[in-house]
Amino acid sequence: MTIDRERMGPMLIASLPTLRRFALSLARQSDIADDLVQAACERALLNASSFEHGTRFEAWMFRIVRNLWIDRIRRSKTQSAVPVEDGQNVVGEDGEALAIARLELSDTAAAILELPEEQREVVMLVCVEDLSYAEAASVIGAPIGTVMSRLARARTRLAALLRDSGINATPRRSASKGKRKA
Amino acid sequence: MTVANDTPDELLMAYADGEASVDEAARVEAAVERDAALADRLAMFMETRGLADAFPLGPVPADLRTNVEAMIAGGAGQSPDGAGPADRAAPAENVVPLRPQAGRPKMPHWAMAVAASVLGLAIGIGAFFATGEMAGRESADATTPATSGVARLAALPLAQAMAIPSGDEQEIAGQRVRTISTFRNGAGALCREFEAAAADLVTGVACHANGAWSVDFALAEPLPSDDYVPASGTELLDAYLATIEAGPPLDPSEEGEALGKAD
Repeated sequence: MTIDRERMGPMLIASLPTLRRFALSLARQSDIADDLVQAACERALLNASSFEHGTRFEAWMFRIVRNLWIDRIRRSKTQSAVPVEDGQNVVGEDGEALAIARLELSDTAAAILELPEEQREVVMLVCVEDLSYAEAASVIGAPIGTVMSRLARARTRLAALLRDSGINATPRRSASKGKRKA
Repeated sequence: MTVANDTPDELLMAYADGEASVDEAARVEAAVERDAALADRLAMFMETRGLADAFPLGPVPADLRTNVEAMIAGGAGQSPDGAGPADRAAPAENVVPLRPQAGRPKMPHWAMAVAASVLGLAIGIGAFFATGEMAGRESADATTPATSGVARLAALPLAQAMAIPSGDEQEIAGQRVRTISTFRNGAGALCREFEAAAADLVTGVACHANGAWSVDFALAEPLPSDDYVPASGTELLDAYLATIEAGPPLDPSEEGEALGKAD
């Protein structure tokens, strides 16, 4: 059973805050996150008939948001938020965005934003959005085993980051010119 | 062999997340009882779940909400702000005539309206840019020089361009070609999104059918400047991808296999 555009509208509106949180975790910049969410809603409305009733709507939408994000990274090499390889520290070009995030988010959220992208997304999907391993696997298009190994590494690293931030809580740089989220 | 080797992180984590089977759960409980280090690992996994409160949902910006509501209310064929779609569409002389095909989903008008800065656009199903056909059309119409805009693709050896792995670039026939992604459309055909840069930037979607690649979508825009500016035609491309029911991008190994079969 599928649903039509008319029934999808209210579902989209209701899930906007959640979609935005996920998009923000990928893009780490609120304007880009908003673009991603809007583009994902457009695509969802056009493809409303391909959503399977009974499956989790957010998971379907997260997949669309993620695919748009991957396309966007590939289209622009000059963009600052390049995909981060496993084990590489993301602070650098993104330092400012992270500093802003640190001001507005909890230590835990800021630490999640410092994870490499492939770890960050599974933490968001399972630990924040409460998806099952199977749902997370369908979002990222990978086997459950891959989700589990990434997630275990991500949480180990997250715990280490939180431990470090407890010891060394000095902000990396000032965020005085940062713009606040609307 | 130590107990830790028998109880990998994944298993401890699955237990913490309630995703372990009954047997696995019994193994974890027995192991944790014998090994304090494992108990600490398990505690770590239990503390790093249920993090929704740590990442509170922020307010949705009014613009975003308004735009999405307009899309929902507009439906197909309506511009969200009520403006006529033709008002802001690409200049008519730069638009290669569409080749309509019965039964295919049409581009929604609101998607057409975003293409203000687009230099040229071609949307067709099938071998629109197949060898010869485009050249013939160009000489008959003589509207655009074949060295610029979407017509430039007629000079591009597609089989060579479509062999490039996604994310890589190659100089082909005086054009800097970069493949973006590989995916399957709603009909199951292998398709690729690519960019070809010369005097301007053409973004195209080519699909493989009947043993050959053909360009089904092409959009010409000015070359981006050094500063990152999202291409305005991106929304048009996204809308097109939605109408052909583009699937998720294939990962590199899937892509390699699929491209190998397509050749």
